[in-house]
Amino acid sequence: MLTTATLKQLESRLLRLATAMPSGFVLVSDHMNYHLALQTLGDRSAELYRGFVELERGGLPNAARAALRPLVEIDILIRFLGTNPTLHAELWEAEGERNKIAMVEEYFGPTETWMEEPWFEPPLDIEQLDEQRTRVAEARAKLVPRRFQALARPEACCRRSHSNC
Amino acid sequence: MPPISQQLLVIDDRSSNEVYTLIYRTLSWDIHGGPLAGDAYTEHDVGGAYYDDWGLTGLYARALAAKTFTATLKTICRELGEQGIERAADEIHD
Repeated sequence: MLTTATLKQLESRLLRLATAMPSGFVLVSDHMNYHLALQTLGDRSAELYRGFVELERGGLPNAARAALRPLVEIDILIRFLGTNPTLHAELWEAEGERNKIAMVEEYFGPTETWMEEPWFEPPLDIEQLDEQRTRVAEARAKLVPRRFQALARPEACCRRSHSNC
Repeated sequence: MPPISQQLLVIDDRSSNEVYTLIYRTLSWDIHGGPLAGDAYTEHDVGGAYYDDWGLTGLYARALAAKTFTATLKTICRELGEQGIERAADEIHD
């Protein structure tokens, strides 16, 4: 039977481990992007968990649960990354760039109409935008065959009621 | 990047599917301000329908967070070759 005292003890041990996690180094390997992704997600997860515990102990359970969801998401994401480390880490990075490009394009419209001095500095300049579009396109090209495989299994997909099947 | 629902098809693991369906999606209410968020609904009788506690509160939420973070820690430290932390996480998990 799990008691508050046992849980508190476990949490304290986990918090100590969270601060001992490797941080700020680059592992030189064939899967460097994957390892960097894991390190980034590990840092984020450790901080979210520390936040969760502090909020729970501080009597703020609603705020704590907001930290719980990304904790769960990161755990699923790292499992996905691990199934094809190099490709999936590249897709993960490209997804971030794709979002950034979409935001910039949506807010500023065609690059010709960008204000000379916008009140909010865009996260990309025009030269970077082209470069990032190329990177995203390259990553997307690698994804297409795998995505097709996943979508070709509607019987597996439609068991869940998500919006994209 | 495939959405999380498609990532699960690639992972092909029952426990991950359960976590996604029962936990991740339930916690969506807490992130997006859904009517069933948190434990507030356990105290209200809305239009004659009493919303029961789903259990994502108190000790249960804390145990879930601890379990999730332990699993994440184990995976990351195994992949990064941090065997000391992985062993310690294993002990906590057991």
